[in-house]
This record gives sequence, C-alpha cells and structure tokens, in this order.
Amino acid sequence: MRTVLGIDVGSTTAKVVVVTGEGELLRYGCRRHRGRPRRVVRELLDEVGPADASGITGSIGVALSDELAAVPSHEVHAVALAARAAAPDARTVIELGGQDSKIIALDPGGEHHAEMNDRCAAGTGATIDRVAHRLGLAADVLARLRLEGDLRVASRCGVFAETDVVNLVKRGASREQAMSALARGIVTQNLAVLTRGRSLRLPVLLLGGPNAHLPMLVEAWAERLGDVHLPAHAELFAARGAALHVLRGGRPLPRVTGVVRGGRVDGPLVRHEADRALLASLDHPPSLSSRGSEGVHLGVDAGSTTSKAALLDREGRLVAGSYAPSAGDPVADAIARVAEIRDRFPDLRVESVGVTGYGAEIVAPALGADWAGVETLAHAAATHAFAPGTDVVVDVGGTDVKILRLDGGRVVGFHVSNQCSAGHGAFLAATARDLDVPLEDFARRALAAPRMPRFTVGCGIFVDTDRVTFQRDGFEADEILAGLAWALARNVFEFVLPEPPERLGRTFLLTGGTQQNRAAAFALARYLVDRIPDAEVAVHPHPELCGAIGAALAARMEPRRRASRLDSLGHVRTRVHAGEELRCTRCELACARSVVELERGPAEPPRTFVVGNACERGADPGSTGRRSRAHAPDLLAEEAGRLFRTLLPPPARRPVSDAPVIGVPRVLAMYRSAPLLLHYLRAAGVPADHVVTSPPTSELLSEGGRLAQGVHDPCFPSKVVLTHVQWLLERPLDALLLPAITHARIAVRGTADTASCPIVAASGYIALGALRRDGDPLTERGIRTITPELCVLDRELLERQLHEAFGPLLGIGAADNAAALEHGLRAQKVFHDRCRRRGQAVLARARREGRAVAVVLARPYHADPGIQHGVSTELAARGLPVVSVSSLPIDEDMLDVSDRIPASTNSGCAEKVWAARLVAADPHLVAVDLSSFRCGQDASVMGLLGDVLDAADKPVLRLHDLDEDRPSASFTLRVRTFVETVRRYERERLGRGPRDGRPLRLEELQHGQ
Amino acid sequence: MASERTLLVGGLGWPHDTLVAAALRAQGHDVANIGPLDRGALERGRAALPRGQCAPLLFTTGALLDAVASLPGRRLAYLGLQSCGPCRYALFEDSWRRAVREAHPQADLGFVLLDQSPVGITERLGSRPLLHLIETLVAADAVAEQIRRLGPRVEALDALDAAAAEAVGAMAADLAGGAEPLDALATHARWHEDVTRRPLGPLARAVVIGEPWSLHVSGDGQLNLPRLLAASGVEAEVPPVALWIAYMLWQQRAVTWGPERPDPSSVRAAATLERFLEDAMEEAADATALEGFALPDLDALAELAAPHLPAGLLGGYGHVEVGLAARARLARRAHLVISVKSFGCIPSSGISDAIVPTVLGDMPFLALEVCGDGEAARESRLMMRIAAALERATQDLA
Repeated sequence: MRTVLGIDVGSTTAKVVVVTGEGELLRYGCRRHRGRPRRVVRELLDEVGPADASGITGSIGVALSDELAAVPSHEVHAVALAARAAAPDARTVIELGGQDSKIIALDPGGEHHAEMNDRCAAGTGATIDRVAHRLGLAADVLARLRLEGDLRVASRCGVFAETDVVNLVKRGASREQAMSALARGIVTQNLAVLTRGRSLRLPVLLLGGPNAHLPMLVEAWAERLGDVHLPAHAELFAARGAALHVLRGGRPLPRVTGVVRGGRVDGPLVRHEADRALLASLDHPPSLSSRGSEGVHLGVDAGSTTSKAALLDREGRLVAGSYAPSAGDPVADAIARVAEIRDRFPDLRVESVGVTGYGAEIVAPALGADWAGVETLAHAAATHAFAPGTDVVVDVGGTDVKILRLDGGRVVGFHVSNQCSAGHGAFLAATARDLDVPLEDFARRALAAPRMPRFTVGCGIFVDTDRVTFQRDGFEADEILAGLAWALARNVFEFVLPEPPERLGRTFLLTGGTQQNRAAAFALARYLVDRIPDAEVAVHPHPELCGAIGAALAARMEPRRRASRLDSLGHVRTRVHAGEELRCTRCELACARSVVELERGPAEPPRTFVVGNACERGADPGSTGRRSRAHAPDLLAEEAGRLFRTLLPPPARRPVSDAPVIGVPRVLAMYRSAPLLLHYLRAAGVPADHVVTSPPTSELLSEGGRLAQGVHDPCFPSKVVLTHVQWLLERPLDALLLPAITHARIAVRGTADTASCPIVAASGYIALGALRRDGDPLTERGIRTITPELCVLDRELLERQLHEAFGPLLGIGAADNAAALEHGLRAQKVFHDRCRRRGQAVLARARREGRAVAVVLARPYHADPGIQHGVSTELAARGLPVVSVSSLPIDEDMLDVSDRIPASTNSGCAEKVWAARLVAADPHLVAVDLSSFRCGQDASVMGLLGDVLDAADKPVLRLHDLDEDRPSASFTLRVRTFVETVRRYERERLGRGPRDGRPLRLEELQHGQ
Repeated sequence: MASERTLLVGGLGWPHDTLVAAALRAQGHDVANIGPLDRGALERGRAALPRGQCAPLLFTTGALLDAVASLPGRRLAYLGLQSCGPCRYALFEDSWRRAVREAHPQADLGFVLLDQSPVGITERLGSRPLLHLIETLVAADAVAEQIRRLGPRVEALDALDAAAAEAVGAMAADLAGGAEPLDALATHARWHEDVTRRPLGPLARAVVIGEPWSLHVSGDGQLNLPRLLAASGVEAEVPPVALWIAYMLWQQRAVTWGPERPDPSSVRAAATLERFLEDAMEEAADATALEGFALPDLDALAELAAPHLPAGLLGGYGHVEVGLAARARLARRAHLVISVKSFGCIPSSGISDAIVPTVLGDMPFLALEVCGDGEAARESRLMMRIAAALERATQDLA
C-alpha cells in the first residue's frame, strides 16, 4: 500500500500524518516545538514511521522542505484540499493557527479564495495562549470551558485583549466569563479582518488547533454564524493536505524567502568595555532600613500582573517589601502581601496606608487606606525620594509602560503605552516560556549572546511573528532573548514615547518590575546612552516596589490619617459583581462598573460600593441614585448635539409634495457642515421627517452593536461610515446622501489650502465600494445615492453643485436653490456663533475662578462621542471644563499660521496648530491632543504640536491611536494623571488652592475638587 | 539650483536614482545618492520622528540622516519631491528638517523640493534640465521594464542583476560624459543578451497597482516585490515612474480643485510636457524593442474610475489606481492583481481596501501593505496568491 507523509510545521506546533494512497489517515503525531522545530519534526517522523513520499507545509515547514526532501505546498492550498476531501459540502473553512488565521471560500467548481491575516495576529492561538497563561488556565481546563456571560474585550489588538481580560478578572468577572469575552472577541476580530465585508457561505468547517482544543471558541463561532462543524482531528488538516498535494501531483510551492533583506542581525547586546561599565553601574545593592516596625507607613501596589507591598520607616526609608504574581483577586493579593510582612514583623504598628495600581479602587476600602491614588504619581513620589534631580522616570511594568517627565518631583508630562505597544514584562516572560528558558536565566543568557536578531517593534504579537521567522532562520534562544531585550528598549523609546527621549531630559531613573531583568534594564540604559552621550541612567534599587513605596510616601503626607485597621484584615471578605447590567446610563460615558460587597468582620457593618465609575453620578448602582454634582461643561458634547438640531426656522416655502426620504450618515465632514446641508434641505422643501440622520457612533456601537465589516484598513472615523450607512439602509429611504465635501471654511489663514483629508472627502465612495462587494443592496432596496462633490469655499460653485445634485430630485429651480443655500449658510453661521459664545462663557468663568480649561485639539468629527470614546465627558465628569477648537475665541492677531505650516493644505492641521498656539499663549488653557489611529494628517503635525505645547510647559493629555476599542484601564490611568497635573498646574500657575505638594487622592481626581 | 552644494538624490528606486545622479553630474553638480531605503533606514527614521508617520517619510528620513552623517562638513541640498501625495502635501520638509536638526545640529542641509506644478518645476530646474531629467527617468523606466520582463525568464536572477548593474553603470558614465539619456539607453539596450534564459514554462501574469512611492522604491520599502515575483515565475506589469510624472501633468489641465481654476500658463506647460513625455516613451520603446511600453491614457483611466472614485476628490493618484484596476478587469489578462500600499498612506488605504476589490469583482486580488517589517505574514499571504496564480497559468497553458 502506498503511503504518503504530510508534515505541517507552524509557528508553535509540528504535525505529522501518514495517509494512504486514497488519503485516509493512518497514523499521526502532533507536538508543540517550543522553538526547536527541526528536532521535534525528526522525533515525530521517527514516531509515525516512514512512507513512500512526503509533502510539507506551514510557516516554518516550507523552509524545511529541502532537508526533509518533501514537496512544499502553501498551507491554504493544503487546508483547502483536505477540507474538500473530508467535507465536500463545506463552503467555507475557518482555520486558526498559532499566529495566523485564514478564511477560505470553497467554490463548488473547485476553486478557492482565501484571506489571511496580514500584520497582526490578534485573533489567533498566540493570543489565546497568553491570556490562558495569565489567567492560570491549563489546557485541560480550557478544554472543558463553555461560553458564559456577555462581557466584551478589546479584540482588535492581542496585547490589549490580554490587558482587558486581566482587568475584567480584577473587576470581578470569573475566568470563564473573561475567556468567553476573549473567544467572542476573536470571532469578531477574524470576521472583521478576514471577510472584509464579503458574506460567509455556510456550512463552515472549523479547523486548526485553537478551534480543535477550545470548545468555547467553537460555541462562539456557532453563536455568530450558526451552521459550523468541527471535524475530527481538525488540527491536522494542513498536514493531511500537504500529503494530498503530493498524491495529486501538485506543483511545488516556489521557495522564495527572506523578502526583506536589509539589516536583520545586530552584534551582541553588550558590545564593548563601555557597555560592561554601564551594565555594572546599574547594579545597586538593595538597601533596607533597620529602624524597626513601629510608626511605619505601608504602601500597596495592586498591579495588573503582580501585587506589591512596601513598608517605610518614619523617614521614608524602606524597611521591608513583598512582591508576588497576582492570583487574580486584588484584595486577596493585597492581604497576602500585608500578611507576609506582618509575619516578619509581628509588632507591626502602621501609621498610614497608601494604595495604588489598577486594583486600587477595590483594595483601598478593604485595607482602610488613608490614600489611594494613581500609580504614575506614586512612581513620581518614589523617584523623588530616591533621586530628587531625576528628569524622567521610565517605568516598565507587567502590562504597560509609563514614561513620566518630572520637575522637582511633580509630574509635568507623561506618556503611557497604548494598544500597539508591547514592551512590558509579561511579554518577555511569556516569550521566555515559549522558548523553554526559565525567567531567572533570561538576563544571563541574553547578555552573553554573541549576536541578536533585530525585531520589529511596536506590536507584541508582531514581535512574536518575528520570533518564529528567526527560529526558522536558525537563531538560538539566547540570541532571540537578547534581541527581545533590545526590542523592548526600542519599543519604549520609539513607540511609547512619541518624541525623541533627549527632549525630556538628561537624568533617567528606571523603575518597574521588568527592571529586575538586567538585560532589559541594560538595553534601556544602552539605548539612552547611545542616543544621549551625557545621559545619567540609574535603576531604582527596588524597581519592582516603586509604586508601593510611592503609595506609602503619599499616605505619609496625608493630613487626614486614620488609625490603621490592618488588625481586622483576617475578617475582610469581598465579592465583586461585574457585568453589562451594571453599565452606568447617566451620561454618554456609559461607565462599565462593578459593585463590591465588603465585609470587615463582626465589629463593622458590611458595605457596598461601586468601582469603575468616572463620577459621582455612577456611584450608586441603582437607577434612582442622587445627582449631587453636575459635570463641568463639555462643549464637544454640546456641539455634537447642536450640529444636527434646527438652528433656524425654515423659510416659508411649500414643501415638495413627493419629497424623497433622505438618509444622512452622522459622520466625518457632517460634524463640520451639517447645519448648512440639513438647513439647505429643509429650505429646499424637504420636510423634517424626510431627513433621517443616523445616531451618534456611540449609540450605534453600544448595546451589542458592531462595527460593520468591509472596510478594515483606514482610520476608525472612516471605517465607521459603513456602520452608519448600514443603519440607514434598514430605514425606509428613497435616497442616501453621501456628500464629498472637499474643503472646509475655516478662520485660520496662512496655509496653502484648506482641503479635507482625502479619506474624508472620499468616505462615501469607500463605503459604497465596501457595500457593493456582494451585490448592490442600494439598488435592491430602490435607494438612489446622492454623492455630490461640494466645495464650501466658493459660494457660486457650491450653489451650482447643490443644484446639480438636488435640483432634479426635489424639482427646485435656480432661485429656490440659491435661497435654500442662503438659509443653510445662515444656519452654519448661527452654529459657529453659538459655539464661540459658549466657549467665551466657559473661559470667562474659568478665569474668574482661577481654573484651567481643557482644549481638545482634534478634528470636528471627534465631537462624536463614539469616535473620541467619551474622553471629553470623562474629563468633564472629573470637573474639568472642556472646549472644542470650534468654540475657541477668534483673535485676529493669532489666526495666521504661515510661520509654522505655510505649505499645509489640510484644514484640520491648520486648526490644530492654531489652537495649540492659543493654548500656549493663554495661562488658563491646557491641552488634550486627540488623534485617531492611522491619521496621517495628524501625524504630520504631531511634532509641531509637541514643540508648541512643551515650550509653554502646559499639561497635555495625549490620546493618539484612538480606534474602535476603548482601552479602558489605560484610558483611565491617563485621564487621572492628566487631571492631577492640571490640578497642580492650577495651584502653581493659577494660584488656586494650597501648594502642599501632596499627591491627590482618587476621589479628589474623580470629583474635581 | 545651488551648485555650490552637494545634491542628495534618492527615493525613486533603482536604476532611477543612479541615472538621475549621473545626469545631474553632467550638469556640473556634485551629487550623492541617499540610500539604500532599507530596513535600517526605516528604523532610523522611526527613531527620529514622532509616531504614526507613513512609510515613505520614515524610509527617506532614515536614509537622509545616514547621508548627512556620511558627509560631515559638506554643504548639502536634498533634491526631492515635497511629498508623495495630497495627504501630507508639503509637510515632509518640516519633518526632515526637524530630524536632521536634532541628530546633526551642525549639518548644513538645504532643500530643493519640487512641488507638483510643471510651471513651478520648470522655474526651479530650468527648462532644459527638466527635459533632461524626464528623459533620464524614462530611460531608467525602460531598463526597469526590461528587468521585470526578463526576470521570470532567466536561469539566474543574480546574473540578470549583474548584467543590468553593468549596463546602468555604463549608461551613467555616458550621461556623466554629456550623452543624451535616450542615446545612452539605445547604446546599451541589448545588455541582457548574454544572460542565460531558462526553458519557458507557464508564467503567471500579475498587474501591480498602488501608490507611486511603494511601486517604485527599491528594496525593503516594497518588500523587494519585483524580485520576489520574478523568482516565483510571475511576470509583473508595473506602471513606470513616467506615469507618475504624466499624472502630475495631467492633473494640471484636467482637475479642478475646489475653487481654483487651472492656470492657463500651467495648462499649456503641462500639455507641452505631456507630449514630450509621450515622445520620450516612444523613443525608449523603440530603442529597447519593448513592445507595449507606453503610458496609459489618463483621461480614459479617469473615466473608468469615475463611478467608483472621481478624480476631483483630492485623492491624488488614487483614481489612477482605480482606473488601472478597472482596465485590468476589462482586459482580464492578469492571473493576479496586487495593490501595493505603503503603511500610513491615507488615500491608498481606503482605495485598496474597499474600492479596488469591488472594481475587480471575482479577479484574484491581494492588497499588500508594506512597511518594511513583519514580512513573515505578508510573505505567506503573497505566496498564497502566487501559488494560486501559477496554478491558473498552468491551467491556461493546458
């Protein structure tokens, strides 16, 4: 009997099958290769025995084809072959691998069309592996899990999904609920990336390791798609297909590798004597105070991956510390840390307790803390105590990186990693685990490696993809670890930090648990010294405890100290309830809250409190909670509403008798020109109820709403257009208006042009393109499209363009068209005047009260709460008035930006630069710099805005890369840190309140006191 | 132009950069090439610039920093385009200046940046040097086209590369010695005759479209795509750099942007240059016996694109990409259409993601975003499509 071997070596697993000449499976073996693919494949080949011929596939496998004398085939082709053989009726295959995913459409005629993930492996087995490890879920447990609850996580980015899942657990979700959220997220992510708007044909065959081994994932696919099937040995289909390819005499896949050829190898991490001296200089022997344990101050840092406690003496010196991985429950973790310290100091007398970290809101009440605050402030306090002259703190923690610019110990600027930044400790640890290297050996081996591969930086999942490539190309584990340490440094200073580090200062202190890894700390120091020859870089002697030390220092300064209640910790019990039903509905922010039940023993009545709320309105879990305090003004929210309201009564004109019902998506340029267009339509005779505008994006995407699939690559504000259009198509429309507004009329002058972004102008065409992939739903519904090119700069031209677009449709003549345009233009002016008046009022009040006002440097469509993720409302909820670019006062002397960007053609860039200069010039203004992911327009002026604002030494909240996922934990950290810097700014520059130098408590940040 | 400075040129790819440098030397300039635009340049660009920049800016910034570092004490001027499209039009210069100022505060670097108006370019360069530059680029396009057509047909790509490099070196020497570009091309047009051909099997045909920078930059900036396709047995149809020039001229007469009306003198200058470009292409095709080496009719492309993306939406070259896709579908002559876009390219992201696939219907299509890294996943996607294209080519032959 003729037999054929099929080999599939992917990024994580090797599979070998032996099939008969008819393709029937005889024997097989499957094993994780942990970075040693050649060895594992040889072992598997020995186990399954010889065959007459062999075929090979997979991301690593194809590179091994020569040495294994196997015919190479592409894995898509192999999978399609095996799928057709096993399930002739299947019309779609969804295969998830370790680092890739693919959807293959199987035509009845024998053709197949496939899509694979390109850049990001967010929705693949790698993400599942890492999250499961973080949650402590072994493979056998995963294999038993079923879908539970309806929580959601950010799914677009694997790194962020991981962070969100961990935070769900910290806020009370069960591990099953959290994994369910991830499974659904992976389904959504894959459908979005891989279908690109095309309809999936049923039935669907689910293949690949993650589908084979995670029933929960199959349930999630079934929940979304219905007719799905998981065949036996679903993880072996690529290997079987490789054998079938040989059996059918298929053409060998061309072997072309190493497409990118430039510089992929660097020398060793430690290059020469100067590097060795630098490495030695970073080693500080830990020093502990022996002043005893009476009158001490306790700090707890409830971090995302680890839990830390620090005990300080009365002078603020470290007496003892405790550090351990988090077990998931932040309160239990904190109590365990405290208990460990108490075991060492039985006569412990604690004067104050401070708490910080992601879990601070829950841990602080449980410990009866005197101070609970933001970890950025805690790190700043610890830094100032250790090295008062430090300019910059580089804190590399378990799941995030924070870079703080200090001035005399106060935070004057900060950057926090976002979803595309993976330089953190958990990532290094996970990769070491994948390579079978104990974490404690990481630094020794990396520092001794003779060379290192050069990784891509920016995305952790992508780094992992590189790792597979390097393994395929023969790099040793030590070399890969060295490369990872260097990639971490580049990631921190080239991605987390949006500007070169030399702009921040010369004296750097490295903090955070990851600095315990000497290779990581050295890489960071080397990067800085290479770039800034006179840089002074030190590692905190207790880098892992800095948050806890800072919390203790803050509690020590707290004037309202309470008697320590640590004695009753043995009685503390907490129950955390999380879930969608606890989402606050009292404003657009829709905070995802958790209710915590806390018992502190028989002497104290149990209490219930809410965490996760941005303001007092959400502090009551019930629906009848008091509203004790209003938010500060949020002019972006006001503007978003005013844009689409009637601002002028329509002129007396007989309505068009058979006026069409026109759908208008509430997107992009409409956030600038809606008054003009909507009032034009009314004046042209279209009754109010014949103009249907889609709701704000936040409403479309809340309550289970999903981003429409079909446009994946452009920025989020552009992608969301399709979602609005699809919402409109569900209404009884006669026409859909998708104007291509090519320019903006702005007050700012001195640039070459005031054009719209090309994506904004073409967004209607892009949405129509995506919509028409699988037919033409507009024609099917009898809806005509109106896609006029409109230039609002030229009245005569605009009048003509409008008449061409609407004259025949509405049956209006030139005179009526001109009158309608006049009405629209007047409405637009009314809108702008009202915005300015509101801005003036808010500013005037701030000046009277000595307060700061946050100017949101953004594009008009960032008024849409769904596009800016409610950041303006969150700031207003914390007591900070927020104004838009449109509501800033017009000062004729400042309108000309020709000295900065004379050749710019984009209206939004000009306005942002102008507004930044206003902020710099007015002491009462601070800045929120918003930008959407992939906004090339904003990227072009990012450096310029930084120059302008930094020169004025203003607090700035930078939220770049806004996408469909709202990274809630990172968002809240940044917002809280910003509010703290603004409050300090108000005290120091506007003379508001005492200058006591005390870090603010969470509740002070929350309620805007 | 400032002849007292060393002119830095680069960014158009090979052999264009080499021949342009030689042509400028013939005009009395001291010239140095920036480059290569490889992964190292990308990383240095990333380290020097704020986040979120597009690939062309990152690559060129890194290469420019390298060039400045390698020429200490020299007075330099970078000769290039202000940007590659409308989205960041004219803002590259600010980024380059900032990056060089911070990395090399002592550097004396000026800029000779060309905007996209023929009148402006003519004023900047002078009429004769401009025509000479256009002919040089056309000659380079012809050599690049020869390499693309021969690539899948030769025994060893390295031998082809070596022969091409020798020919381009000889052409550069001729140019530096004062030869006319198309004469130099004709002199060396048969450079490939000694390269061994392989037995011809089925060749797949790929139509490559995309935004101009990533189509023409050599090396990592476009994943070395032409070489990859050639090595895989795929003959690629890639628009020449001349199409980019033709587009810039065409937009002067055919596109009304907002309230502005075409300036009659600019329209006349554009029309004259368009004719000159067409003549140059024809002469190059004759010299090299390249059948079909000609520019597409941009008016016809705009008409094909109009229902999907009108030319007037400030999408820059975007409608040309859509028009080329529509043309490929009408002709149905490709086994694969690849849309190459550099990371961060605003117009191209929406076009290749939503509009081009719809225009192409059931034709095999791959949108390939390149940013110089992450090649494993991209390479796999590309090989998937290439394997399928080769299968189709085999079936066609059968």
